[in-house]
Amino acid sequence: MESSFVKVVLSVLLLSPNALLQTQEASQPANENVVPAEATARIITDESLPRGSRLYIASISNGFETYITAGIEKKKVPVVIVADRTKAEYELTGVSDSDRAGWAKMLFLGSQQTNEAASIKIVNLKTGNVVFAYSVNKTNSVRGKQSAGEAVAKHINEKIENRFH
Amino acid sequence: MKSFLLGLLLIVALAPIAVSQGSDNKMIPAGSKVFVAVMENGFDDYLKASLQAKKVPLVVVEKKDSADFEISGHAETQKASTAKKVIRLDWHSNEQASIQLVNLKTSEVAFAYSVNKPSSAHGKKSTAEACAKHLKEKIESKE
Repeated sequence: MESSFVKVVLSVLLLSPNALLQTQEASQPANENVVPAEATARIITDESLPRGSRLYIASISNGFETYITAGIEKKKVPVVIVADRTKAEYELTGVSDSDRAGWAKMLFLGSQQTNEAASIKIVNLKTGNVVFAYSVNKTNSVRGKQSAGEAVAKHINEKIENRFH
Repeated sequence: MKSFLLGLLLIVALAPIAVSQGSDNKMIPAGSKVFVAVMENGFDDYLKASLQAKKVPLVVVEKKDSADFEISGHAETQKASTAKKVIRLDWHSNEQASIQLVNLKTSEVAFAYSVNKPSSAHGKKSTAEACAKHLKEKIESKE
């Protein structure tokens, strides 16, 4: 009786530090080096995009870069677009994708409009920071790539005017 | 007091010059030499024809070295599918194009325009003429 009681007490004493450690680990983050999502988001959006900045638009699939350029022109975004990357302060890169209307869509929905998706980011070429990122998805886009390009331009303008959230 | 007034006068006199310099880079003077770069589906040829048809005051050159501006862009044609022909009785293609005009000295984009024509009556010709028309408006507006 006495020996079994001693064994139980000993096992409790031995296991209690482990249990304590496990509860502490559970309350702490798994890795201290991982940056919280909020802090990462702040790094992207904190830096402003000044008016009159020299922006280089890199080549994007399906010639989408020219649609962005046209959108910036149409929406009167206050940036200077340059064709030479060495003369730029910022660089815009991205991807775009078009999905044409199939026969089923045409038959059942009576729509021949395309679905457009695009995503861009603007990088400060001096610091390497991403100052702006935006993605757009237009189902049944009325004006195809033109609509997506103008949406991108509109939101760049909002970023410059500090209205982008 | 005198020096302050002189300084103020100088600022007032120089301000319009500073403002005009900002927009100078986006100006396209009539008679400028322009090189039209190769585009998908031979859209550059349609654009050259349209520049002539719409009487755009630019000189098209065949060598980039002798040009002041370069037109580059992208064009896409979506031919009418069988479903479109059967259901909508529409044989016309959907056209979209986008162009940009770059000042070769400053590397700045002086003009950009995009167009989307669903069921285009004259195919690529319509989109090319839309581009030419808006380029002409830009030159004549002297912005």
